[in-house]
Amino acid sequence: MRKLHGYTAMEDRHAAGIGLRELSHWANHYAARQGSRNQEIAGQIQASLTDPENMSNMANPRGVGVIILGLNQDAAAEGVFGTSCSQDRTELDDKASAMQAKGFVTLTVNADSLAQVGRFNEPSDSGVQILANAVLGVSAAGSMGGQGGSLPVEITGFSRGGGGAVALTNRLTESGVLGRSITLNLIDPYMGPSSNTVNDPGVHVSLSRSTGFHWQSVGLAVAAVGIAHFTRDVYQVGAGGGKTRVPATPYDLPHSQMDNLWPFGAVMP
Amino acid sequence: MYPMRLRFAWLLMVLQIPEVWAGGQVPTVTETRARLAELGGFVIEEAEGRGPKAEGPPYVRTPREESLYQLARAPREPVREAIDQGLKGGTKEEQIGALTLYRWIVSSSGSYFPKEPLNPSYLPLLYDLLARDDGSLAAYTGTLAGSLSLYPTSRETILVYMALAEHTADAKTREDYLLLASGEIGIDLPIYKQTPALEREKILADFEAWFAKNKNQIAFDEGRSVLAGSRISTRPRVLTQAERQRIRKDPACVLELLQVSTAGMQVTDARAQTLLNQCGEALFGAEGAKLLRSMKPEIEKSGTATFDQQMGLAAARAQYPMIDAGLLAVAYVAADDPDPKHRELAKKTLDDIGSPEDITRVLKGETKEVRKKAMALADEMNETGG
Repeated sequence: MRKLHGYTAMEDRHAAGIGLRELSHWANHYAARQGSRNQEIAGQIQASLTDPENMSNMANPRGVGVIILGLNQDAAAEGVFGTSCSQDRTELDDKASAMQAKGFVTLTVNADSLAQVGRFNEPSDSGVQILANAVLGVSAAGSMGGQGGSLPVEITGFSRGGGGAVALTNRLTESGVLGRSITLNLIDPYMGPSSNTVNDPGVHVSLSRSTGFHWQSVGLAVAAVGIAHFTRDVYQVGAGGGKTRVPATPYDLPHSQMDNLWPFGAVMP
Repeated sequence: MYPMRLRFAWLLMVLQIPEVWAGGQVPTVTETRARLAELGGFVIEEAEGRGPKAEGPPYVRTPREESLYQLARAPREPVREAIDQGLKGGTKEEQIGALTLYRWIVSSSGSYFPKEPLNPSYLPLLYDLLARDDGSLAAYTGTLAGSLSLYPTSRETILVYMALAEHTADAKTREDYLLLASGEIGIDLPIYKQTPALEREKILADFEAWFAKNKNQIAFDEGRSVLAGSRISTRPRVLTQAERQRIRKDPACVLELLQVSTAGMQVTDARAQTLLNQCGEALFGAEGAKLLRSMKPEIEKSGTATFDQQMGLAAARAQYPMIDAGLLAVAYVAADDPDPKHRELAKKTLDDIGSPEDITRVLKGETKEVRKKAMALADEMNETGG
C-alpha cells in the first residue's frame, strides 16, 4: 500500500541524508589511504637512501637507479636494502646491487604504494612527484650535481610497477632532465592508458613481455585489459612527432617469473 | 635589505623563469610563431637523421630540446595564440613546431610549467589537415597523426590510422599505424623484436582482414574500446539481484580471481582455472567467463587469443560491471567472512579499485548491516594502516 505523501518525502530525505553521510565516510577513507601511501613511498625512499652502500655512493653518485617492484615483491623483503636478507631474491635485487657497485644511488619502491588509491592501473600524481623529487635531489648531489641531467638515470618497473616507471620518466623529462640520460626498463608491465606513453623521444626504452603457452599469463592478461583497463603495450613519441608502439622482447615465461631476467639479457638458467 | 633588482633576480632564479622572460620582455605572438617554425625545422632534421649527434654524459640539450624547454616555460598567452595561428595558417614547419609544443604542454603534469588544457577545436582541424596532407613530409604526417592520440580515441581516429597504413609505401610506417590502431581497439598483435618478417606480415594481414570485416562495429566509450553491435550498450548496467546473490555465494573467490586477473597475486595455472570455474561468472559475467574459458585451448595451441576472443571480452565488459562486482565482493567479505586472509584480500582490493562514488552507488542496494560492516573494514584499514 502506498504510504502518505508526507511520510514518503520524509523517508526520502532521511535516505538521502544517510547516503550523503556514507559518501563522506568513503571520501575520507580514500583521502586518508592516499595520504598513507605517500608516507609509504617517502618511507621506502628514506630506507633506500639510508642503505649503507647508497650512503657511501651519495658523496659522488655516478647515476640514479629506480626500481619499482610489482607482483609479489616487497621493497622491505627483497634484500635491496644493504645486507637485509631477501625472501625471494630475484634479478631485480641483483640489478640494484650491480647498480650500487657501479656507484649509482638506488631507490626501491613498491608499485602498490605508488598507485592511486581506487585506481590501481595508474600511479598517483603525488607519489610520482615525491619519487621525482628524490631522483632530482640525488642528481643534484656530488661533483656532477647541478649540471641538470648530467647523471644517468636508470628506471626499472616490473608488472604493476610499469605505469609508475613511465610516469616517473615523463615527470623527470618534464622537469628538464634530458631523455637521453634516462634508460627505462619495463618488465612485463601492466599500465593504465594515462601512463603507457613515453613523451620524450630520447629516452632509451627496453620492454620485455611474457609470451608462450601460459594460459594464466595470456588469458588473464586479456582479462586485466577488460576488467581494469590495464594496457600491455608501451608507446613512445618519436623524433618525428608520431607515436609508435615500443617493440618488446618476448620471453617464454609466465608473468610471475618475469622478474628473473635482466631486461637486456637472456633468460637465466 | 636587498636592493629591489637583486630581489627580483633571486625570484627569477627560484621560479626558473627562462631567458625569454627573464630578459624583461614578453615575446610577441609573431616572435613566438617564428620560434615554432624554428622548432619544426629542428624536429624535421632529427626525424630525418640530420640532427646533431646526441651523446653523453655529460648530456647537452639539442636545439630541438632547448627550444621545447624554453617555449614550454615562456609566458603562456602569446604561446597559446602562436600555436593557434600557426596551426590554422602556418607553414608545415610551423605546424610541426606548434603541435610538438602543444603535445608537450598538454601531456605535462603541470609541476614544472603550466599544463595546457586540451583544445577540442583542434581535433577536427587535425582530421582536416590529414585529409589534405599529400604525405610528402613524413615528420608532418607523423606529427599530425601522433597528435590525434592526445584526444579520446574515436572510430574516426582508427579509420585515419588504417588509411595511413594502407596508403604508405614504407613497410615500417604501415606496421606502426597498424600496431597503433590494433592497440587502441584493444587487440594485442603478437609482434615482437624477433618476429620473422613473413610471420610479421601474416599477423598484420590477418588484422587488416579482421578490421575490414568488423570496422562497422568498432566503437569507443570515452576513449575506451568496445565492440559495438546493434544490441550491445556501451554503458555498463547495474548488477541485478540475481548477480548480487551469485557474488555473495563466494565473495572471497571473486576477490582472489580479481587479483589474479590483474597481476596483483600469483597462483598456479590449476588454481586460476579452478577460480574461473568456481566464480568466473560472478566476476566477469556469464558471457565474459565463457569467453575466458574458451580461450584456454586457443592459447595452449597458438600462444595467443584470437582477435574475436579479445574483442569479445571488451564487449562482455561493456555488458557486465566487473569493477562493481569486485567492490560488492569486498563488502560481502567485510560483512560475512571472518577469515583473516580473506579480509586482507578485501582490504587490498578496496585500495585497488573504485571511488567513494562507486562504492556508495554499489552498496546502495544492500542492507544497512552490509554497508556498516564495509565501512568498519575501511575504518580498520585507517586505524591499523593495513
